[in-house]
Amino acid sequence: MNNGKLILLVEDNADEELLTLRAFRKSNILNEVRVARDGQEALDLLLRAGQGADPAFAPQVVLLDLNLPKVGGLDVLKRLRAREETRFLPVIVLTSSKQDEDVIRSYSLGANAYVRKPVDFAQFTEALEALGLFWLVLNEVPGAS
Amino acid sequence: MRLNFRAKLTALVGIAAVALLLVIVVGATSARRVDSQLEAVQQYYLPRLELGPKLEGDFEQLRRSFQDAVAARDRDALASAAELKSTLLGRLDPVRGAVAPADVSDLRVAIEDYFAAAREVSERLIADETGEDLIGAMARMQEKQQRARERLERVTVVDRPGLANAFATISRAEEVAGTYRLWISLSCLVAAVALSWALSRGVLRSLSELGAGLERFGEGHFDKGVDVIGGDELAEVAKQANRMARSLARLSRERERAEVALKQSNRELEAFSYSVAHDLRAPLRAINGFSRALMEDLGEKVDGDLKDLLNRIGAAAQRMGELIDALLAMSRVSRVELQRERVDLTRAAETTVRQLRAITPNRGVDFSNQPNVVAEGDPALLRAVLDNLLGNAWKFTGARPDAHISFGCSLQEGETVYFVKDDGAGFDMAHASKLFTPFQRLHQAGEFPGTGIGLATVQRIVQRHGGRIWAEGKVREGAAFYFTLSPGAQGT
Repeated sequence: MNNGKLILLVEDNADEELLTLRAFRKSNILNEVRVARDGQEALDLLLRAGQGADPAFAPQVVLLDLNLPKVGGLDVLKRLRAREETRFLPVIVLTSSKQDEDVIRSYSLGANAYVRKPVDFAQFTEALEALGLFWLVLNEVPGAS
Repeated sequence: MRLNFRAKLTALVGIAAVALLLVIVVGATSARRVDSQLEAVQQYYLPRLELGPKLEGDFEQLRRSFQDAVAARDRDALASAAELKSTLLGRLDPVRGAVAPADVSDLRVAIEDYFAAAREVSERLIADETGEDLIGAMARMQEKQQRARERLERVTVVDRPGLANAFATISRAEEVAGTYRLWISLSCLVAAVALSWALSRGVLRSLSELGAGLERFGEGHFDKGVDVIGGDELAEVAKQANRMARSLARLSRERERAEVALKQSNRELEAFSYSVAHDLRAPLRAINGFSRALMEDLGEKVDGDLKDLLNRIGAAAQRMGELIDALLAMSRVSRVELQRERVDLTRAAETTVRQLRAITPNRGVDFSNQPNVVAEGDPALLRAVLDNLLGNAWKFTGARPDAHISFGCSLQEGETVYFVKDDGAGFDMAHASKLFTPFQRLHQAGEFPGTGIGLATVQRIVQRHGGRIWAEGKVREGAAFYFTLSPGAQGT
């Protein structure tokens, strides 16, 4: 499946990145996945600031880890929701933590979903497949035609 | 001057004793004065009052006896006159103290003189003597009679002003004694009342100050101590209360410091477990994911042994993830703040069993749930208890096609005891002590999977509620877990 919609993965761990990309491939989600390796990079990409900014960069969904260098995941979320152009951008928190505090804070800051990465790769693949189906195919966002 | 209660009480008793002594002394003094006056009346005035008429009567009889003897011309009758004389004189002996001795002897002399003269005249008249000589004797006799009378009067006359004076002295003495008694009693009363008032005022002030201070201490304010009033026993109590307050203040400061330290270490533990949860799982996921990836990518080239090894790597990583989750859950039990509210355990058990049935729909388990079992406790933690215990029962009855699981409670020695019973694999009572130790398992992992932390978590939850948990079991017959949720009547 590749409907031309872009995915932004915000993940600092190379292993996690590799596994996530592999899980997308396994679940037959062939959309382009851009990877930001820290919070600042993600913000630069999304808010079209900094050097090498791509003015046409407009992902369909953001998969956001919480534990990130420079700018933490929750801060990224807060700043995205503060900006008009990214106010409604679907952001899925994808993390190892299942602490209640993290879940509550993520939703308070406007996360669209909260998914805990299972240790088992097969389960992880299933989860990503479900995510892809919902957010890339079923979900509608304002302004997208 | 500050006196303690002992001194004040001693003073009170002393005043009473002194007053009593004064009353006794005054009474004795006045009694002595009254006594002496009464004695004077008795010894001096009364004998005279009695003596007067008798002596006069005797004297008159004496005089008549001479006249009678002369009229009868009977010399023998003069003998009775002599008797009368000695009677008369005999009366004077007992009154020697009441009458001046000189007067008495004068009277004796006068009566003897008169008697002698009267006898001489009487004898001469009886003998019919006449003449100038006899008339002279009679005149002398008359003179002596007159003199005897005078002496008699002197002896018997009563000193009336003296008597009145004696009675007046008596009544005055009694009056004075009464006045003294009145004043002493009054002053004693006033002193006792004043001292008691001072005493009780001191006590009340000290007590109210002490009460206010203790109330402050009770509310946890130790900065202002009890005012120590005076130097009595209550002041000593106040000092001890202040000492106690200082100790309590020190303890409370120490406790505050310990609480701060505990909060700090709790925060650190929180950060630690967060980091464990988050950071330890990433490598596990990598191990699991890459072993699967390897298996997939090698595809057909993987033979059975290699496949098994890769599976084991993946399974081990997954199991470690479960252990981490269980450990975190257990450590959270000790850290979260305990809520206490009414929890419907029957409904919670029903929900748990419904979920278990949903996961393993082909299991035929007969679950008997006692209605209306409620408990006071933390809803989330109590649900965790039931999830664990019922989950265990479910798991360990897995080999039975017709398993029975029951939940309920009973009252044992005034204590509500909750239970979860099953007729599953059971356990050997010899190992019962290991049941609640983390990572201790009584069954092989291949037989019944699990983390080995569930019952340890349950025990912590029960203990945090102040309750106890214990188990009974028999191999291949079943297990029963009992727990209470509040400190039992028999103590810890």
